[in-house]
Amino acid sequence: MPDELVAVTFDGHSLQARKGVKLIDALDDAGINVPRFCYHPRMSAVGMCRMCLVEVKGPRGVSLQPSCYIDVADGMEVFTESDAVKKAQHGVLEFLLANHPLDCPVCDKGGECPLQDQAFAHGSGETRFVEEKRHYAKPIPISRLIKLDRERCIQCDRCTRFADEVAGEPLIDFAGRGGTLRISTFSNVDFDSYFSGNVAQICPVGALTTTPYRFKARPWDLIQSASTCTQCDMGCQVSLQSSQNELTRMLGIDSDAINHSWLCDRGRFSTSEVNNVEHRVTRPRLKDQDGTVDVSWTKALRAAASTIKRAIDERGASAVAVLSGTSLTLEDTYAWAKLASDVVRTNAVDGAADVRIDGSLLLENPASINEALAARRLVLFNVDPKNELPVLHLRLRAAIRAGLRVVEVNAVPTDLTAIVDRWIPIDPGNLGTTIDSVVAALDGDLDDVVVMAGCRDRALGASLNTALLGELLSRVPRAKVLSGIAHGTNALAVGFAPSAPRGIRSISGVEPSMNADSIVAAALRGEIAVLVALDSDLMGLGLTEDELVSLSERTTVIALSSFESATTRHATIVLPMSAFGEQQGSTLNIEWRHLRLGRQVEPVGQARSAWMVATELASMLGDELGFMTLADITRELAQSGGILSGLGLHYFSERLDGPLFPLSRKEEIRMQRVLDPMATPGVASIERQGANFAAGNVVEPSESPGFAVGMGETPKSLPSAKSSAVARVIELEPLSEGEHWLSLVPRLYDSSPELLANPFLKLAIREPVLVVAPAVAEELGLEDGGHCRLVGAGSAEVTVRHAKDQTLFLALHGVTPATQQLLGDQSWVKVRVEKSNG
Amino acid sequence: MARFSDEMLSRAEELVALYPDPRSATIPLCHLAQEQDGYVTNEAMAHIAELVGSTAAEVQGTASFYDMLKLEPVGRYVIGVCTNIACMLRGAYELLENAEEVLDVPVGATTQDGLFTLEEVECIAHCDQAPAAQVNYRYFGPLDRQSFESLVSKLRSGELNEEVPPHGTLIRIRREAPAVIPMEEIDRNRAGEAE
Ligand code: SF4
Ligand code: SF4
Ligand code: FES
Ligand code: FES
Repeated sequence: MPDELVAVTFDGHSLQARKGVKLIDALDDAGINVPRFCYHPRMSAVGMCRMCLVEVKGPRGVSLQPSCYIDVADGMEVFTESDAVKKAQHGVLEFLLANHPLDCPVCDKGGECPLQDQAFAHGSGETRFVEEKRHYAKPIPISRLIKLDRERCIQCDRCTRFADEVAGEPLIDFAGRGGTLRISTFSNVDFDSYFSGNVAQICPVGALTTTPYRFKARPWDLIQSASTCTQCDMGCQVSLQSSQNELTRMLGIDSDAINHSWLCDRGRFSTSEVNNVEHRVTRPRLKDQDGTVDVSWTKALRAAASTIKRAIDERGASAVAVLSGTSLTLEDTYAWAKLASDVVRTNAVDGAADVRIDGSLLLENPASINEALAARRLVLFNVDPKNELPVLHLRLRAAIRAGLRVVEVNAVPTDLTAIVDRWIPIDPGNLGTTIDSVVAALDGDLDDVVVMAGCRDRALGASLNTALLGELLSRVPRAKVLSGIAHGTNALAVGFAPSAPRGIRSISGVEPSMNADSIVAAALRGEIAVLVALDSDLMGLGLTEDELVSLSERTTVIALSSFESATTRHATIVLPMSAFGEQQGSTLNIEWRHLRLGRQVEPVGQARSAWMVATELASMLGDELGFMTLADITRELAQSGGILSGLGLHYFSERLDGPLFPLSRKEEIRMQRVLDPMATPGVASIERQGANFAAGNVVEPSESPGFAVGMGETPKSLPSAKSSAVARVIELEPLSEGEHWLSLVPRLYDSSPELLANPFLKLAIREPVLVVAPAVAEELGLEDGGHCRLVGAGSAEVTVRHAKDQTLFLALHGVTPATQQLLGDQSWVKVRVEKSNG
Repeated sequence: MARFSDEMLSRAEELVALYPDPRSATIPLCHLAQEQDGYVTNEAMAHIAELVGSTAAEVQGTASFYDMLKLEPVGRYVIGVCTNIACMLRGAYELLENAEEVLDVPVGATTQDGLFTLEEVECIAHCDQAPAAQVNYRYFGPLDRQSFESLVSKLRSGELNEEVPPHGTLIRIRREAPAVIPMEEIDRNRAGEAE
């Protein structure tokens, strides 16, 4: 719907403005820049700083009014350059600077600081304040990641507003009043939030800085490229910045389709793990009877190729298995998928071990993130955005505040449960009525429904998860689906996983049919001769270290990895892989949007891209993958007939966020990227300072004011999973005496090799916690803070917490190698609870 | 000295119930905490946050805004000597100096025995009795060295216990929710009026 317009007069020019927007936005639209500090386009206006004063004509003459705080109105007459406005700007700046330390030369914000810039542009250049300025202890760590230099603060309320309004975690607030107003945490309660880094990004001065970036670089020394965070499949748009061949920081770009400028800390600070050379695999190495030796790439690849060849010749192609982790680029994934299916011809591949759902359900009628947030009803099905797709949690919170009606379907409540319309538990004791309740909660409003479907709860088997979702979709047939899987979209799209159905596959050779669990089980039985672990730690699949050792004795493990892990320690052949920021390419996010990855630094040591390794291995195996460059892969994917048909890098020049796939999907683009140096200092200001850019990688707003993308035809119709194999309600085998249902849900900071390599984030790793409904705890005699032992397929020792939310039974928070031991292959995990002696 | 005692907790819960939004009870609960401990302790702020559904940082943000809510320990009697214009003209600064000598503490400090905290305050609207002072917000004046000394010794001896309760005690906070009037009754009364 086109915006309604009103007639206005700005500085004597008659113009039209969008009705209902803030005056400051209307002025921006008209190309008139008004200085500002507190106003942030993604947060509510507060009128705190008074920097944006303009003169507005009213019935009683002109008066100074904050343009960020008033709505534009028909017939409004505004003056932004009058003497009164100038005087007001001088006054406000002088006032703000009165107590400001002016320590720009040692301040991290210097060079990209809105206060500095606006003091130059609008200040009077003189101060009349000769008194002693205020002093505070500094810097104050308000969390492990954020430091506060109080005297630089201009009390704009951005950080506190972010914490309260956007993140919903008001752990920082103003304390005091007047001249001693200051940002403060409470006593010893840290600003412990998944989203804390955003406050440093939006602080308009150098009062809040991140520990990893503090004193690391000067902004004018940074070079940057547009990229996409790959820590989860939200695909947040970032400016990746580096200095002297080291990644220095990541800033969120305001992509209207995806992240609205926010990032989570897992993503923002992932640069620190890439930089941590001690935890990186830097050179190829082989293990033989004498121990481990560093070798050349050629030697390592020859060894790998001959092992694979021998395995195929002696034991057949299925004796070669490929397990892949989740940080591979789309191109890497495709190259390996093609190698496995067309060259090795094995069916034992799984690049999406975390996807425990039938991929075709996710693609039949896909919704974009913005469509999901604008739907009349959104059903969150078995997904925990905060822990799996963190920035989506922020987008959802904003949408819910704006009136989005959400029905949440989960076995264990999430941090959204308190603010959604309805929470419907998936109760293993009463599965039959789950979907009935969901449909009932939609109040017959079945027309504009989006279902966001995930596989959060590890205790739910893939078939049960698929069956429940299938039933829901068949009861709400017009529902669109947004994928809620946090990792593995690339693998699904190219068909590099058994959970990827035919219709979306881009490779045509041997189809994957063994999943990660069956591959690992076969390997433990000695049925796999060669196991290629692509950026994947086998311990993350529920193996114990002992099992890993015995597995690696029977199976040749080839590990291609960026980070050292238990798997690289025990593998026979270890190959260094380039990490995030070290290679170009592209990736897909949950809405099947094609996003670019920027290369900002050279790979450490001898690390190479996974697709190159695949290409070389193929030729050593006497075959060719048929591509020499990334562009060859793109071209091949474009013609593959899968959902990526029509793929092309040229779309990035039309639309920086990239197109949605399949290309037949239409999308209204309301706003191109906003690179507002006042909203996100550091993204645009670097460009302004004329630093160089990696060619073809420029971060810049597009010229075109907004257009609808809609290109090409749908490649082929997708298979209908909901009409076919979907079983009706599954009956679980009831519990026997002493057994309990268990849920196992992930947290953002669950131990993984990458996280352990991150010196800052590894401190956030916590032991798994068993949250127990109070009634169950009483029945089992489990004390709050005590310990117990869970016995399922394996066993695990865990700490107990009594639930403060609607947890129904036993909810184990924390997916770690230890807790995954509990999972078997049943539809829902059952455990026995033993008091621990400790 | 900590979270609300059982008795205080039930009063706190009553206060929370007075408001449609529990957060509105933040300031009354801070006063209650001050009545219990003489000042608003960290533990009390954390407890208040639980009771009104906010975070301790927010409670601290609110409490630290107001001069009448103390976040640090103060004496049983907080003596505020006014030095604003009317009092100043009538010798407020001398009175303040005398107070410092009598109590043997500088402005802003608390006596060793924890009985008195001395403050300098702006006009307390007791100008007709200038130079004036307040003790736990009860007014005294006009004061000179002698009458100040006698005020202090009366406070010490407990002679003024009735008049000046310990710091933090606020009668106004002792409020009770009126009995809920059923809607039907209101309707009935209205109907009656209309006739
Ligand atoms: S710390 Fe920064 S963001 Fe927060 S109020 Fe101060 S100036 Fe604003
Ligand atoms: S939400 Fe996901 S994509 Fe976005 S910053 Fe966090 S980890 Fe990266
Ligand atoms: S008051 Fe308008 S930007 Fe701060
Ligand atoms: S000036 Fe002292 S009470 Fe008014």
